[in-house]
Amino acid sequence: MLRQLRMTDFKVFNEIDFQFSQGITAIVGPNGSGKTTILEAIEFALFRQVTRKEKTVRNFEDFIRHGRKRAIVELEFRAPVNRRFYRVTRSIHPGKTNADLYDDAGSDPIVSGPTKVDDEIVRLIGMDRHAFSTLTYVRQGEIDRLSRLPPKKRRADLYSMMGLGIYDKTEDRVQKQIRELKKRMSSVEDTKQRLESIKSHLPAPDEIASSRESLERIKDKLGESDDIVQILGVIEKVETSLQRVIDHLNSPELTNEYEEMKEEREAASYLKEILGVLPEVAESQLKPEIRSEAREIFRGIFGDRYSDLVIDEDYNVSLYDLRGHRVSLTAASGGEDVCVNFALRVAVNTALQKQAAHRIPPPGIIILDEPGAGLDTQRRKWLPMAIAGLKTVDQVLVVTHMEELRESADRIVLLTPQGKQRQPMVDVIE
Amino acid sequence: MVRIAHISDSHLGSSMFQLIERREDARACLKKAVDMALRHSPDILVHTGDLFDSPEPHPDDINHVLKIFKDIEDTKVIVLHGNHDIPYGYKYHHSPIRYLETVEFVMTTGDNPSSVHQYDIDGKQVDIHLISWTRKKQFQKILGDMEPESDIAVLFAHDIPVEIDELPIHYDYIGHGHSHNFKLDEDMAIGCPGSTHIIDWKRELGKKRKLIVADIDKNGTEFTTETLNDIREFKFHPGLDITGLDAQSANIKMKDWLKNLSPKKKDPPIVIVRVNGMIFAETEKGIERNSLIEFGEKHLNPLFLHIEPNWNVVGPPELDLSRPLDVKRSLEEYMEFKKDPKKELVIEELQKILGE
Repeated sequence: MLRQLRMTDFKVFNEIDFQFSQGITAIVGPNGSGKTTILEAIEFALFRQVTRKEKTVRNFEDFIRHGRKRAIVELEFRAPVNRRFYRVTRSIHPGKTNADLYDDAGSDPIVSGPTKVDDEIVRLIGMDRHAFSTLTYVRQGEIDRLSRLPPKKRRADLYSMMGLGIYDKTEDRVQKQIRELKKRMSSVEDTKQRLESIKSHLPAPDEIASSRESLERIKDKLGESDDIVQILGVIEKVETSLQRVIDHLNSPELTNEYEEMKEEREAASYLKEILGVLPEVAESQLKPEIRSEAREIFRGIFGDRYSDLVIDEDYNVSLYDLRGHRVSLTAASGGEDVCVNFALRVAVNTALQKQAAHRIPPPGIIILDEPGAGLDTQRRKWLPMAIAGLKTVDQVLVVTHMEELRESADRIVLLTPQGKQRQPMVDVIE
Repeated sequence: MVRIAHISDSHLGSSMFQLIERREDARACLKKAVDMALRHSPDILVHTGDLFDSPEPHPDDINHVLKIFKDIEDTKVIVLHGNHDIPYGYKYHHSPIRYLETVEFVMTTGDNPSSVHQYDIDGKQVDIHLISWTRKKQFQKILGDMEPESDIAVLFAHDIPVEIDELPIHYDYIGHGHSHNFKLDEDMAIGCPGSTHIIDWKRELGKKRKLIVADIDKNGTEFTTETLNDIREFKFHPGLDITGLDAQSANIKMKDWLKNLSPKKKDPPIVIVRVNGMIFAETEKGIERNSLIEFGEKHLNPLFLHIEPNWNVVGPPELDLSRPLDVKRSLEEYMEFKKDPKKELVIEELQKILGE
């Protein structure tokens, strides 16, 4: 949950404070009044990343207000992990960014430096940027995405919404470990091969022993001589070399440890196999929950036309109209499409919350960027109300230029451009 | 004595399941409520808002309202702006209630969220305080500024967004709407009549709607109520359960239930069946939704038959993970379930990789 956002010389804003509270906050303003900038500032503060039109923006210098040297964003948020408040400050300078993270009360940062702050925030929020944004951000133009995707992609999308990406991520780490083991094993194999080859070029131990005996016999016949000492020296050298090669070949590094690596690799491969199966087990458990939640939300908005929303095994979403006819999502109207996607996102959030024993609670916030596109006036009004009724979502941020959405908001932030590159005028209505 | 008749929330223009007939029903129900109220010969008839379902009502609805209100004599008519009457929740000057005020058929809060009036009724001075739909903070501020001067004072608001104990005690009756279900607290003298017809069946079926008549004199307030039935007959069956049935048995069970419904009356009813239970995906696929509805329509001849799927689909009876998003825990449970001999080994490996 977010509490406060402060921006200094960040795009159109030269100095501004936004308070966020529980319930629905609508940020209303005409095109270009800086509505989306507010969302970008939030995303930047949390994850040092900004997504615009489905692309990641990397050049943060663009965010510095024209004619200024640096931009500062400060955000206070409550960490779902421990329900405590934190404050993150990030500044953008030409060519670099800085970051500090503070405890709610503290005046000294608990963590400093962009990367360290990134990591700490991921820990506090309990999920990375990707998971957070799929769960909370419903972006401009992205809302009917699900129905445009091919089934396989759609499944992947929903998986990641459900947080099942965690299995993929673990699988990746296992795969990395397997690769590492493979590399180490092949280097051991190389060494072994090289030693074997040297060994094959050296005489065998019994050959050396019999050479020694032969030399003894020569010594018995001819008596001690420098020549014999010389030859014995060579034989001993060869013997030592051979012993070394044999010792190395029998060393734990090349024997037991190799076997251990082999066993570990087998275990890891097996682990990887199971990790591939688990998401489906977990999913089959989460899906019914998500479906019934999504159905409730969808019917809250389209209950006068539809009776049901069904997700089949292939993640095709279909609707049933009030006559009991199946309507595939591709045949549904634009507004219905928007609503299905919306219902699914929110349902995922609520379904996860219901997994009470689950370690990390979902963020409890939903951000809707121009969510009403494609919906008629009446349904636009129902949209935020449909979410506000859900107990798991403490905070809803709606960014819109549509006045209809205003009336269902608990708090309205009105942005009015003032021209001449001045920052927009901000009115708060409660 | 001052007699007040209180109704609310007519939502003219709303239509359940997009049925055109329900628009007519809404008009008829409003007429019925007003007639019922006038039979009590009240000094004041108050409608606490959401007379219309949308700030841009259909001409038929406006016409209907004009016809109802123009003939009322000897009764002062008050109509508040509800949230549905006001465009965007704040443009009071664009509310259709303003037209009714202009032609002097009703009194409202004008272009503002609130207004204060004083009348001589039956030789007594009465304070009437009105608050149309507004935000909570503004409501609190308005309420704080309103101070009754007469012996008898009433407050009408579209909604009461604050706790009951935050309300001042100097009113002889506080009447509000917004909620579509009847509620009357006689000790606190706070009443909400509910809507004049059924608008949202999920929230309102099985609840009550009543006309509230309040008789106020300096000794206190006495209440009379009269039930407002929707002119349309509703048949609602909330608990049909198909748990564990296969598709065929589920279809038969639902059909049987439809068959056993009482035969049609002269006015076709709205029939709503809510089907609950836990079923498999296969069963769900086999439910013949459309033919069930067609069967029910033939048998019952309703205005509308709605079968609401409220069942949940369960997967094949497999393992139930206690924390489906906890990788280690799920792995343990899965391998335990499969009685996998490599369990220890694999978990050790996972711990190593996760660095635990």
